[in-house]
Amino acid sequence: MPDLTRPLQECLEAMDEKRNLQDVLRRHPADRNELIALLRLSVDLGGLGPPTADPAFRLRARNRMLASVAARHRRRRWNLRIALPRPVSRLALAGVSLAALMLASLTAAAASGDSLPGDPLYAIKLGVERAQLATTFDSGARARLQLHFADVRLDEAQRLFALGRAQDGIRVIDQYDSAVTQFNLSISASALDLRTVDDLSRLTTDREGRADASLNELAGSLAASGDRETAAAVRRTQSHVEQTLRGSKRDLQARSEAQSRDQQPKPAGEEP
Amino acid sequence: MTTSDDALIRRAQALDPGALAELYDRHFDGIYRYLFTRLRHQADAEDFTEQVFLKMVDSIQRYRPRGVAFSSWLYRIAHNLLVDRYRRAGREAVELTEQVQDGRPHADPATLAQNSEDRRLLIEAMRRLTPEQQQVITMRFIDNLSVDEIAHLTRRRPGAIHSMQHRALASLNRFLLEREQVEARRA
Repeated sequence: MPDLTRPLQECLEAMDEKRNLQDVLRRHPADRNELIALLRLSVDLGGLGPPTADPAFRLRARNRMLASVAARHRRRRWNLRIALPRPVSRLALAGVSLAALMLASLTAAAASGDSLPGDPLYAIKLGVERAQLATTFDSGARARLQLHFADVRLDEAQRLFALGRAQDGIRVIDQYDSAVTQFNLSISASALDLRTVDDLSRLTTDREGRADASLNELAGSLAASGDRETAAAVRRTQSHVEQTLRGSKRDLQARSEAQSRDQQPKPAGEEP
Repeated sequence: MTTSDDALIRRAQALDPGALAELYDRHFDGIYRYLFTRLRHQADAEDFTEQVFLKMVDSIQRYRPRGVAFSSWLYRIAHNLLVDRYRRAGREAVELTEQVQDGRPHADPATLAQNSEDRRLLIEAMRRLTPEQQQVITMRFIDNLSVDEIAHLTRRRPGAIHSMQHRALASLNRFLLEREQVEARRA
């Protein structure tokens, strides 16, 4: 039997590529008949193929495959959220991580309490304040916190001036002024009950006196040391804070009086 | 593999539904034909075809071209499913039988009868081939796989497939001629 492997392959390729088969057969005249017989057989074998698939099955299988793709997308999103193998392990790791995070946060937050602008821990201190405000949803508690943080800024400013860091001191005095303004805006935009209004009113009166005394002393000290410009800036802040706190106090007093009137029993026969 | 195939497969590897659907549409007929020829049972062929494409989704991210055509990789999945099935059933090979029906319409009853007789003779001749030859001939001319795809599936060199293809066709031709001569003598 002659080895027709190569000529047969050439013929099959010509058929696959729909080229002229005669051109190939002409190159192998001695084996032409044998090659034609083999090619006819290859075509006959193709006739043994199975029927085409049911179109309905084809569509169903396609849809199921795409559904599995969608399921994998969902699993992948879920896995990104919780990329751990077992629920118990996940829970344990989450607990340990949370505890470690809390410990680290508490340690850093405690250490940052006395920090001043420019200190490495000062950013943590401000972050903790923001976090506290963000997680305080009660309007009264939030207003108290704002007033407390205003106090912290005033304390920082005094320490900075004491350290001779006048520029930083002025910046923080401005922040103190802003914090008091925030407190004012916060209480004027919030619905507060009578007890909270009275409590905030007392706090405001207390802060008004304390702020006045602190800023007056600071301005006097700066003026005495010859830094008239900084002393003037502190005086301006003192005046502004005084006005703001006075406005807050008036607002709170008015609300307190209005709420007190509403809570008094109405005379008999009067329409509600 | 063309650039567009590359791009399509990359998208499919990112589980892009459009790209996976495109691959399904391109390869469904070939995979179904390959499986039906071996399983000889429509429901089984459908079940296995579906499994092949679900496995494609599961493992396409691990597919690395490295000279292996995507179709070859897909046929390898189908082949492995068949091997598992035969192993479980304690069978080693699948033979072509008359049960594999040609779904195409025929011209008339005489042609149908003649075709049926031709088919019977051809299948009878196929059975006289070695199992390896049967496998290559079935893949090449019934499943319409390329020589490269068969080489990948059977883990042989393309040259060996060319050679086996020729020997198998030549043997088939010889068996059919012998059969014709026997029939002629009888007549």
